Amino acid sequence: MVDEDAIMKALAGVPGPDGKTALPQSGAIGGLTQRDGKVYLSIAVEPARAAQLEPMRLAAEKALQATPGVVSALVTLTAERAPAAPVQPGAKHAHPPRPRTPESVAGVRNIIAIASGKGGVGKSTTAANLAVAMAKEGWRVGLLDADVFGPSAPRLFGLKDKPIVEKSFVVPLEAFGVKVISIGLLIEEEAPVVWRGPMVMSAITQLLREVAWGELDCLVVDMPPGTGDVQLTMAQSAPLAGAIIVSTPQDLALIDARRGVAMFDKVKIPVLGIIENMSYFICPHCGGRSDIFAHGGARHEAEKRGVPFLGEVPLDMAIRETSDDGRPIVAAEPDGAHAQSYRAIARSVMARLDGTPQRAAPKIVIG
Amino acid sequence: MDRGADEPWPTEIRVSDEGRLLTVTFDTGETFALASSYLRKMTPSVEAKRLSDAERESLVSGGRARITEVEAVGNYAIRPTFDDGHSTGIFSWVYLAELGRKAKRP
Repeated sequence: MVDEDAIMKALAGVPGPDGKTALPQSGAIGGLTQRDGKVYLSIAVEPARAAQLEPMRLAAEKALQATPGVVSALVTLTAERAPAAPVQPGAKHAHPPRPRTPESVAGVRNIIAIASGKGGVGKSTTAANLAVAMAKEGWRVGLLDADVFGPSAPRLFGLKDKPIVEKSFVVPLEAFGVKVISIGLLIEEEAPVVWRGPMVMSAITQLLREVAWGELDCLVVDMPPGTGDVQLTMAQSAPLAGAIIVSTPQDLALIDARRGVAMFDKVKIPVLGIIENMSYFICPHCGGRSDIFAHGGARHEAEKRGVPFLGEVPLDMAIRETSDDGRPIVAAEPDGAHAQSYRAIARSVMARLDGTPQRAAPKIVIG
Repeated sequence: MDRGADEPWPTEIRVSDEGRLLTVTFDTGETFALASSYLRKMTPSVEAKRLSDAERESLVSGGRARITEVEAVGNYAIRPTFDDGHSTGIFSWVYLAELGRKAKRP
């Protein structure tokens, strides 16, 4: 245990959010927890000032690291208080309108969903590699594994620790520069999730709202396959910037991918594009190429729907092996051909997110 | 795909007159003022799907259908809470525009 007084003393040298008052006196310290010499500190700031206060966060982290007994320190900025909603004078009956965005994701610039109509097309592997690729391109990235029945993020990212809870917010684990949270981190690997709809919905809402995501450029949501409760809950409880559909080139998978596109259309979430996974197979022995699921199907489908085609990723042992080993191929072989295709896809997604501003949400005024 | 560019997209949703009026302004410039009792009557909630017109009318006969709260639903709708406790109707932008145009017609 590091002495709390020593920690506060270290932080006394760091000016708080107003630039003058020292952090311990500023009232901005939201939570302080520690485990085995690792110190986690959260500072509550207004979401709008988070970028500006990044130097403060760094200074606090440095001060903590320099404290004797501290092995490592992690400081996060959290948006504890959303800016007050404008109150109309003379409002009597009205309750304040609920914020459109849950506070926990208030610092997240873009939330995107990786979806597929059908299971087994490599959606989670794609989501994991895309997230790592975006992080490599310099974005601050989070990954929310929303596949409550078959969570795969813990395995894909090689995560075994249980996340800690700090001030009733779950602190996501970090791997390869990506903040990861998954229902699989909260329950045992072999434990089945046997839930009815309402349970699933509340679990998803919790993963979204009760996790300290902090400041992110993109939160990648790995959706379960299909068009069910989880997809609808996600679409309703968070302002999604867009969705990416993963499909194999096979007709059967494409039919379901079409359903996915149609669903996102219904809830006004733009489809950023389609990725063709298991696009082709290069034989490791003879080097011959086999189009196992037929090739190019997803590209045609995308053209037919008027949806961008984002790229193709081959069926390859290396991708499968690195995934099972908990080191996504973009992290394991960042300069390999496969990593390059993921990174090209990531860049195109990032450009799309930056280039097409979300249609602004309507202002809801109660007065 | 430039999806939904022709579909209505609201810029402001305002509840006024102590919750009796919901005014929706669309980016097309159209503005609709919808009485809360009308919205309550026309709720798209599944529970109300099988109600007859007379039954819908009876929902608001006591005059208790003020809006107390409005919650945004994802990118596409709002979910108002009425003071009679009803809060399961999700009004999409398209539906609001439809209601507004219907109400405007004499």
